[in-house]
Amino acid sequence: MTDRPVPVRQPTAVGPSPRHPWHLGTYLGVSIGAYAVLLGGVTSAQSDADAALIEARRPGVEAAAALHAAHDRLELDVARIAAHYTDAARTYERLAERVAGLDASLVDLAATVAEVDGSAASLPTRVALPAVRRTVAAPVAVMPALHATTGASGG
Amino acid sequence: MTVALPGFVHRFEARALGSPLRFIVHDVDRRSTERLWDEVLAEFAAVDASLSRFRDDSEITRLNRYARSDRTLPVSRRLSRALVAADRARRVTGGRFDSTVLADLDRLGYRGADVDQATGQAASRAAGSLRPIARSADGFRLTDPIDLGGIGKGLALRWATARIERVCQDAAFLLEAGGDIVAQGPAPEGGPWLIGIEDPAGGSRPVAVALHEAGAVATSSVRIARWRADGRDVHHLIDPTTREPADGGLLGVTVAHRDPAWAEVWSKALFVAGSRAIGDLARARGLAAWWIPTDGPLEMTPAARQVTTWVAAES
Repeated sequence: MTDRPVPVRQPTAVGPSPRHPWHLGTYLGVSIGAYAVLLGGVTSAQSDADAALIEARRPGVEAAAALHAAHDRLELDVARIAAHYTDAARTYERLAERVAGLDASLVDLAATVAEVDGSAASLPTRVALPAVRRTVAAPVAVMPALHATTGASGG
Repeated sequence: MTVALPGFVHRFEARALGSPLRFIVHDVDRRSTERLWDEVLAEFAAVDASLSRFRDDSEITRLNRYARSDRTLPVSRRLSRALVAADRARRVTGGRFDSTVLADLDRLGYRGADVDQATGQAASRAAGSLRPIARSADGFRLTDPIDLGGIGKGLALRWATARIERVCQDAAFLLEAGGDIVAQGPAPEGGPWLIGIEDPAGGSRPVAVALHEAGAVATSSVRIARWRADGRDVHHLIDPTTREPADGGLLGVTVAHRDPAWAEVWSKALFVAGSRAIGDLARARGLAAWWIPTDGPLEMTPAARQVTTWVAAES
C-alpha cells in the first residue's frame, strides 16, 4: 500500500463574512435584549423596593397626617383661647375702671363715716327728754274764758 | 337777756298781712317782751314784702308777672322757702291744696296786684299736668301765677315763732294772725291755752273750745271773704280740680297741728275735700280736725275730741 497523498484541504474560514456583518445585528439584538431583561429586573427590583419602602413608611405618614390634623385643631383652640383672653382682658379693664370708681366712692364714704363717727362721738350718751303731757280735755258745761279764737281771715 | 317775771302778762296788737295780729306773752320782763314783739313785727313785715299778692312791689307779684314766660328768676330765701313749702303742700295733700288759683280768684273778682293774667284760666288748665313751681339752680319758674295766701300766714307764724325762740327759748306766748294761732308754753293762769272755734255761720259764740298746749290752730271757712260774682255767691276757697269755689257741703274746717303752716294747709285741703271725704282723710292723717257741714252740727276727729273741752251744741 501506498499512501496516496491526501490533498491538503485548506481550512475553511468559519466566521463572520466581512461582506455580510449579520453578526453585528445579532450582537446588538442580544445586547439590547440582555439590557432589557436586566433593566426589567432592575426596575422590578426597584419597584419592589419602593413598594416595600412605601409600605414601611405608611405608619409614619399616617402618624404625620394625624399629627398635622391635631396641630390644626390645636391652632384653632389656641386662636379661640386667644380671643377669649382678649375679651377677658377688656372685661377686666372695664372692671378695673369700675373698681377704681368704687374705690373712690369708698374713700368718700369713709370720709363721711369718719365725720359721722366724729359727730356721733360728740353726742351725749344720755338725752333727757321733756316729760310728755297728753291732754284729755274734761268736758265742761259752761263755756270757759278764751285766750283766742280761731276763725276765717279770708287769706 | 330775758328776765323771768312771774305773773306779768303783756299783750300787743297790730295789723299785718291784712289781718289783726295779736301777741300775748307772760312771765318775761317788759323790755324783753318788746324785743319779742319787734321780732314778730319784723318777720310779718318781711313776709308781707315777699309773699303778698296784694302788693304791687312784692317779690311774689314780680315772679307772677313772669309766669308762663319760661323765665327763671332768682328769689329771696324767704320766698324760696315759701315756694318749696307750697309745692310740697300740693303734693302731700294730693292736689287739694294748690297755690295756682290766683287767676281763678282774679276771675271771680278777688283781685290782688295786677300781674296781667288775662289768659290765666286757660293756661292753668293747659298746664295742669306740669309741675306748677319749678326750681333750678338759677331760681324759680312758674307755670301759672300763684297765691301764697293759703300758706303765707302759717309760714309767717312759723318763722316768727323761730325768731321768738331765738331770743327767748322758753317764752310762753300766744301769737294770733287773722284767726291762725300758734302757742308755746302754758297759759298765763297755768295749764293749756283755751282756744275758741269760731262759728262759720256767723254766730257770736264759738261752736267749741279746745285746750291747746303747744303748736298751732288754723281755720278755713266761708264766714268772710264771700261776695257775689256773675249773679251767684262765691268765696275764696278754690277747688283746684274745678277751678271754682269749693262746694263740698262744709262751712268751716279747723285743724290743730304742731306747725302753723301745715295747720293752715290742712284746713284748706280738708275744706276742699268736702263733707263726704273729710272724716276719712283727717282720721287717716291723724289730724285733730273740727268741721261744720252746711246741713249739720259740729263734727270732729278722735284726736280733736281729746282736746275739746266744751261744745256749744252739747251744752
